Amino acid sequence: MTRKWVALPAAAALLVTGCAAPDPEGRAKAAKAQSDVITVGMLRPSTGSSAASGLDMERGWRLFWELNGDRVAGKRIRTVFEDDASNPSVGLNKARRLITSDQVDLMTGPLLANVGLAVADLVDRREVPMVLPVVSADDLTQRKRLKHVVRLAGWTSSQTTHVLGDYAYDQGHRTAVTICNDYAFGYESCGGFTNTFTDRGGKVIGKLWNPLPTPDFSTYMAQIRQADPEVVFAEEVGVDSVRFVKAWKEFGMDSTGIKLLANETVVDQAFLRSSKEAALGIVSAGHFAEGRPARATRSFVDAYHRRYGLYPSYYAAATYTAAQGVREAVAAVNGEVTDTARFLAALRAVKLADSAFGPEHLDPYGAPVFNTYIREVRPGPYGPWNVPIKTYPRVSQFWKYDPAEFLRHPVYGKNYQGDGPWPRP
Amino acid sequence: MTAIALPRAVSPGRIKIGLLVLALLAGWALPYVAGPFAVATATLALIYGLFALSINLLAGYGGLLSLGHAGIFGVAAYGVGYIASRTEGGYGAQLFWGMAAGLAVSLIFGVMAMRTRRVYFLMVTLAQGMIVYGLAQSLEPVTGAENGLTGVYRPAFVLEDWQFYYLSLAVLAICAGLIQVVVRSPFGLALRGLADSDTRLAMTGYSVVGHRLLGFVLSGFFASIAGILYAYNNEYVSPSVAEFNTSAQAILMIILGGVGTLSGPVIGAFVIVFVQNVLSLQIERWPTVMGLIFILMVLFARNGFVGGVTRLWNRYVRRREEP
Repeated sequence: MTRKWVALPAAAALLVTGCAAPDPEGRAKAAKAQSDVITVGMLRPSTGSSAASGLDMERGWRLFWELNGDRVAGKRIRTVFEDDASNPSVGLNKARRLITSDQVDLMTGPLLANVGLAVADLVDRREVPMVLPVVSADDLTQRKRLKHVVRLAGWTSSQTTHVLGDYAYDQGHRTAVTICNDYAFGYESCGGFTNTFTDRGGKVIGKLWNPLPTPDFSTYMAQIRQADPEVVFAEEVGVDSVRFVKAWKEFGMDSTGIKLLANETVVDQAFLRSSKEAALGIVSAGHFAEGRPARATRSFVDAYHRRYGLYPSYYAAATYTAAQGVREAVAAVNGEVTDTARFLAALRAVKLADSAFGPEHLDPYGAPVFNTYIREVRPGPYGPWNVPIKTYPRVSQFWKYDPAEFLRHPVYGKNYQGDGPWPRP
Repeated sequence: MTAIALPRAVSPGRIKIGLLVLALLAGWALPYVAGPFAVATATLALIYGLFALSINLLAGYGGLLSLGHAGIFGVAAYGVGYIASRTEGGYGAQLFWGMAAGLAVSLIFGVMAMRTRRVYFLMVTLAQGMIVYGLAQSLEPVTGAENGLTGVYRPAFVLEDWQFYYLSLAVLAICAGLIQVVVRSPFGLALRGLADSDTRLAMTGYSVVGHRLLGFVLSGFFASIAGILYAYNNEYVSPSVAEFNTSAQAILMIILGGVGTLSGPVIGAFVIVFVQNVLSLQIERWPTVMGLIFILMVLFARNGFVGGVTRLWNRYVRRREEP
């Protein structure tokens, strides 16, 4: 009896292993051999803290293919959506699934920087091209850039705030307080502003870091009043954007004479939908302005509103524009996306004469060069929206700095904000 | 579970061995029949299963439920990650420091918690877990904060997902065997005595504090092994490994599978990991499904899956014998 128990499995195991090593991925590859379909894997959160913005990403991407058809160069574009649950470990596991089981030809998404950093590292080792329309962590196209990762239709966190620091000085402000979320996106956003503002001779007299999320902004408002700067630069994201805007209003900060300049996410439509009228009049810098009168933006905003009954957020504009860029690249290689090197070169060469963001092309580091808009929240056709009041054309991730010199400095962090006049632009 | 209730032909020990052999056989065959995603998901379940086993060693036998074991799991993973990505140390150094960090932290945690019981033990261990999570979030030079540590790579012989799967399976099998040895040893018996009545154990001359501490460190040892496996499997370490959710999830695995059993936590891990990763593809509201499973388990099988099946089996055997 006992002997049988041992002998049976041993024989079976021998039988199986005697044949060959298991190769689950090879079988998946063989199953996918038919090549008239290009499979794109999109990671976005549909559960967890940023599910609402994740939905916008999916909508923008879907809308583009709905409007333009999903056939390019004789191939059909098929998208597999996966939920990263706003968690890097889950995101990695799902990305692995997309790469091994679905054998995707291209990855896109995700939303959060930490998910993006983890997944970017994976796709680079698996040699799968990836476009990052939303994740803005500076180093992904700077000090830690990866061969297979292209920031098509994306942005770097400090790209638009470099512009804002310069703009603040032009407006006659000389002293500033910055308030940003206490994590990488906050450090980079604040760093961009501080760097260019102090280059010109402005002084940052206070740096506040609020945790994510911050349920109550009253102490921060009191600290800002105490410091009494001429201008406040604020970066907030998610529900903090809504709370910050409401607190600014409720505490009567406007009547103190302190001006507010915000980064893109404070008044992005994703959160403006909740802030509503409280946000009217807020000036911010962004690479997307839904109130931009140009045809490319207008037609996108109208189509999005017709389809979903909402203004698009930048998350939706980003995936929509990324789809536009991907279509150009696929057409450029005539649908032969399996030649990864050529496909990557085509992705890096994408030039959009106009898009929902405006004209765009990529720099040699794989980051976009685009318009940065100084925007004001004004009443629009379907509620408050961001209207450009000044446009800075062809803004690079390095602003006016020399890229090599810029990269010799560390990435913006809590302890390094680029204070003082280095390198002269 | 009484032997009297079973027909003489098949003893419960034989059944258990048979089931174990079947499980190992199924585990061996999986990469030959399943797709790559199923293999990767099963690997994750094996690692979480080992982690759940480590908590179960303390909770199921010693009656001490730790809410902060993700801290130990996370520190071991960070140990590997730090050496791999910041110092470019070899695999020997990575394993050594991962293990050393995990053991050191479990010793510290054990010393802090060993004099407490019940709800106080819960609170102390919860705080321990939160401290590690907080440090992971804020100690940027060591942990990379929110962005985590990249640059952890698997050794060449387990580069492929299916190879890593076999490694995890082997490690789990060895660790489960070791845990079984510990549980059956005189020390394991004393550990169980702790759960029943620590005052009585103290009366008979046993060192309660010493046994708790040793139990804690042993449990931390297995949690560290799981953490190291996790780091290599993911090839990335971020604060989410150390968050409370990781501990809570492992405890749910134990409850679902069966507290104080050897196979229960592993079965629980498989159920939860597969619901999260596979069912979530079909059903958008998969957390609801998870909730339903838990409600059903609590209503109908309070001793978890293993307890429920054992009860059903016993009832079936008794019914067959009675007429």
